[in-house]
Amino acid sequence: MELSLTELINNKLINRNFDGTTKKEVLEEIVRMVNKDKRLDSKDLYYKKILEREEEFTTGVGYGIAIPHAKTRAVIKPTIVILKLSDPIDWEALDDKPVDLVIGLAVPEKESNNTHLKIISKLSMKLMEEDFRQSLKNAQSDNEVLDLMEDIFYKN
Amino acid sequence: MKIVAVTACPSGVAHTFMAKKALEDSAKELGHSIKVETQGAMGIENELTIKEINEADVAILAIDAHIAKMNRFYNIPKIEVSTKKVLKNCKKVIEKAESKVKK
Repeated sequence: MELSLTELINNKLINRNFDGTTKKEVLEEIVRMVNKDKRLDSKDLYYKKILEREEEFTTGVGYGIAIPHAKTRAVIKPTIVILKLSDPIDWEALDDKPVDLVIGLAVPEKESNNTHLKIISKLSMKLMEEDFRQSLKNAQSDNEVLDLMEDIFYKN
Repeated sequence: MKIVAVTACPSGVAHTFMAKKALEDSAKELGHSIKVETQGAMGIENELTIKEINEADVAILAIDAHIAKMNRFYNIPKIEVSTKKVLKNCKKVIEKAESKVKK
């Protein structure tokens, strides 16, 4: 199936220097970015679902990374948001370390396109690799981030 | 030791797959063979066959909710943990599985 990476992420969904200082600010920024790129039916519902997911248990998976996410009908198309924080913040992470890289995910309730879901699942697995995490954190431009994402997109 | 595992989380997009990767990496490091089935947003992937399950020494079910085809694991030593536990300390989870086999 032909599709392009930009359906999932583009430079408007990347912020390499977000200066939020709380988890709440970061989550609000994710919702704002996804909404601004016209990927939400209901901003409020997506935000609510993200908060619910956080309350279930932390999405701070360790290594300075958090992956807040929600699968809900509020989402129009699968979306990846990448925020690099200018200062690490507390996320009650599994390893208690502060978080400085946040990968936000938005997935429609009934997503029929497995290719998109496949990429999101591959991204989740890649985040377990130290090299990949460092490359993402050290990226000097949005394009560099997109290149890294493209590697996941095209490689198996 | 031969391990079979299933991972599953509520939304099936992130933790399911991170836990899979963590289990694969830790098992390899500890010298075990492992096959991990995921039950995520894309349904069952890398599905374990009955034969693979019967040949395994132990099953690790890293699941946050009910999974499909649970009855396959009826007849094998198994441990059930959350995906969170796997991400937090995967080696410990595998060691716990080891102790199930030794008993």
